[in-house]
Amino acid sequence: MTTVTATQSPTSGNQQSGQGWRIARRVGFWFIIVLILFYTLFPFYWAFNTSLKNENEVFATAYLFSQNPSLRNYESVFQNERFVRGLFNSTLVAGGSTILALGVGSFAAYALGRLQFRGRLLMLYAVLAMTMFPQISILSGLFSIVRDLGLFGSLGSLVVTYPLITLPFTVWTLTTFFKGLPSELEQAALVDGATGFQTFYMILLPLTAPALVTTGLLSFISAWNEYLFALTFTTINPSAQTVPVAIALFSGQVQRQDPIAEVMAASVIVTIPLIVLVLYFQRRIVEGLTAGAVKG
Amino acid sequence: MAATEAFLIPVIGVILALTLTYAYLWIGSNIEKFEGQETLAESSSRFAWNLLVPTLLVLVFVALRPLEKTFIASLTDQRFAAGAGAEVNFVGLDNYAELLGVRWDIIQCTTDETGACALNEDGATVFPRARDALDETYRDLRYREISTWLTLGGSKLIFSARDTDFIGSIGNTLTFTVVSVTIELILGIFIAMVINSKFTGRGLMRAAMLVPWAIPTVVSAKLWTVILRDNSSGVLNAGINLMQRTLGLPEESVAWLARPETQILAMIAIDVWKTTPFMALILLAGLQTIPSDIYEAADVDGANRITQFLRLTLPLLRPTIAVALVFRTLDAVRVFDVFQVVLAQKQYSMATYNYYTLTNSQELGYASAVGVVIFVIILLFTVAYVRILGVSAE
Repeated sequence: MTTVTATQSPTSGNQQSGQGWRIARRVGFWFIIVLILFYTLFPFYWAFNTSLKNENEVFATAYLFSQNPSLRNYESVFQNERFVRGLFNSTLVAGGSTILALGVGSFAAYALGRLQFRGRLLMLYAVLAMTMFPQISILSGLFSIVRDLGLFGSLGSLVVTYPLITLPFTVWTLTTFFKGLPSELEQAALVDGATGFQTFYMILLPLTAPALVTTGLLSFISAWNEYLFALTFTTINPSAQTVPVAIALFSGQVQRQDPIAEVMAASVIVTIPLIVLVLYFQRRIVEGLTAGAVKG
Repeated sequence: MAATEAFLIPVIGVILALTLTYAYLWIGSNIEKFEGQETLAESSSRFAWNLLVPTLLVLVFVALRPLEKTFIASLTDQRFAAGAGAEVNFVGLDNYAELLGVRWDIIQCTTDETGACALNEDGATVFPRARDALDETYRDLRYREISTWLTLGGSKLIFSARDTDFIGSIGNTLTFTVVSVTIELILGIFIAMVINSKFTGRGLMRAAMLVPWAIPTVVSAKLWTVILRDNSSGVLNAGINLMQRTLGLPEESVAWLARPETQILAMIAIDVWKTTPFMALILLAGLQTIPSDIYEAADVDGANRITQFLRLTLPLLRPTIAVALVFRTLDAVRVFDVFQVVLAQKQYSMATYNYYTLTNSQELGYASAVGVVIFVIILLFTVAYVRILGVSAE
C-alpha cells in the first residue's frame, strides 16, 4: 500500500492517520502537480492562443480562448520572406555547426575519455573552463576577427563562431560516454593490429552512436536558439539572419506598429519542431544533460 | 554575392574542415606504423594529442585569440567604423577609468541667512546640485550622481559614477542573478522532490518540464511581453483584475515593463519560468542517486520529514546543487537575450550594455574594456565557487 508523499520516504509514519487525511493529502498532491504543469505550460499555450487572434482581439481584454480563431497569421508569417529565409538559415547554421562539433569533438572526447597521456587533466579543465566561457566578453575581439576574414554579415560568420558554444559542451558530454565503454574492446583491437585511429573510427565510434544523437540534438538546439552572435554579426545583412533574430526584429507583412499575433505565430512555428524533438528524445536528453552536470 | 553562393560557403567550410581533420589524423596514425620505434605509451600519448589538435585549434581561434584581441583593443581608442587609415591611439587604462570611475561624497545642505539648513515647502532639507557643490574634478571627469546613500542632519552621502549606465548595469545584473538563481534553486528543489515521488504520469510530467527549456529565449521574451502587457489585454493583468473584482477591490493594472523596479522583476520572472524546470530535472537526477534505504533507517530512528530533508536530502544533494548553481549563476551573469528583446536600451544588463556600446556608438576600444570587466567579474564568480563548493572535474 502506498501513500503519495513528497519525499522518497516510506509510508510507515502515515499508517495510523485516517482515511480522510490520506484523501486530503492526495488531493493536495495533485493540486501541486496541476499547479506546476500550469505554470510550466500556460505561457506556451498563451503564445498559441494569441497566434490565432486577429489584430483587434489582441488588443482587447485577454480571453482564455480566441473568439474566432483563424490561421491567417500563420499564412502571413509564411509569406514573410525574411522569416522563411531565417528558418532556412537557422537549419543550415545549426546543422553545420552541429556536424562540425560532433566531428571534431568526438576525437577529443575519445582522447580524453579513453587514452592516458600527460596533460590529460589539464585539457579536461581547459574544456570545462570553455563551457563557462563568457561569449559576451569576447564579442568585440571576435567581431574584429570576423570582419578581418571578410565574413561579417554572412552565414559563414556564424558557422565559424558557433563551435565556441557547441564544441566544449560536446567534448565534455561525449567524454563521459566514452569513459563508460568497456576497455576489452581496445585491447582486442590492439591485438588484431589496428591503429589507434582505426580503433576509434571502426570500433568505438559506432558504439557511441546513441550518445552522438543525444549530444548532436543538444548542440543543434543551442545553436538554433543562439541570439547574441547572430544579432551582432548579421546586423548589416537581413538575408543572413537566423530565426531568433528574425523574430526579434519582426515587422509584419503590412507595415504595422506591433504585429504581436504574427510574432506569436512565428514563435509557435519555431518552437514546435523543438518541442517535438525534445519530447521524443526526452529520456536521452535528460541523461545527456545530467551526464555532464551530475556525474561531472 | 548571389544568395545560393552565400549558402554554399558554410557547407563547403564544414566539409573542408572535416576532411582536413580526417586526413591529418589518418596520416598521423599511420606514420607510427612505419616508425615502429616508440613505446606503446609514447605512441598512445602522441595519438591523443593528435586527436586534440582540431579542438585546440577551434578553441584558440574562437576563444583565446578573440580574448587577446579584446584585451588589446581595450587599451586603445579604436572605433570600428573608422577606415583602414584611421589612427588608433594607445590610451592605457583610460577606458577602465571612465567605466569604473565611481566616488562617494558628502554634500552639505544649502544654508539660509541664519546659517541653518534651508528647507523647502515640504519641510525637507535643501541640498545644492552635486556638480555645483563638488570640486573641479567632479565636473571635469563628468561624474553624475546615481543615488543618495544616507542623509544625516545637514549632510548627505552621495554615490556618483562616470558611466552611470554601466554601473547601473552591474547593479541590475547582480540583482537579477542573485534573486533569480535563489528562486530557481528553491523552486527547483521543491519541484524535483514532487516529481521524485511515484505517481502515474510522472514520465509525462518530466517531459513537460523540458518544454520551457527548449523554447528559444528570444521567443520566451517576446511571449512574456505579451503576457505582461500593461492593461487587461495582458493576461497577467487580466488575472489580477479578475481577482480584484472577486474580492471587491478597485481594478488596477500594473505596468510591469514601465518602471525600473518592475522591469527587473519581469526579467527575473521570465528567467525563473524558463530555467526552473531545467534546474528541477538536474536536481531530480541527483535525488535519484540517493539510496532510499537511508530514509527507511531515518524513519526507524523517528526522524521527521523536516529533519530528514535537512539532515539527509540536502547534504547528499550538495554536489548536484553545487554544479547546478555554478552553471546557472554563470548563465545569469551573462544574461543578454531577455534584456535585449524586452528592455532594449531602457535598462541594461552588463551584456546588453556591451552590445550597445559596440554596435551603437561603435567604440570598439571602450566596448572591449566593458568585455574585459565582465570577464573579470565572471572569473571572480567561478573562482569563488570552485573555492567554496569544491567543484572538481573528476
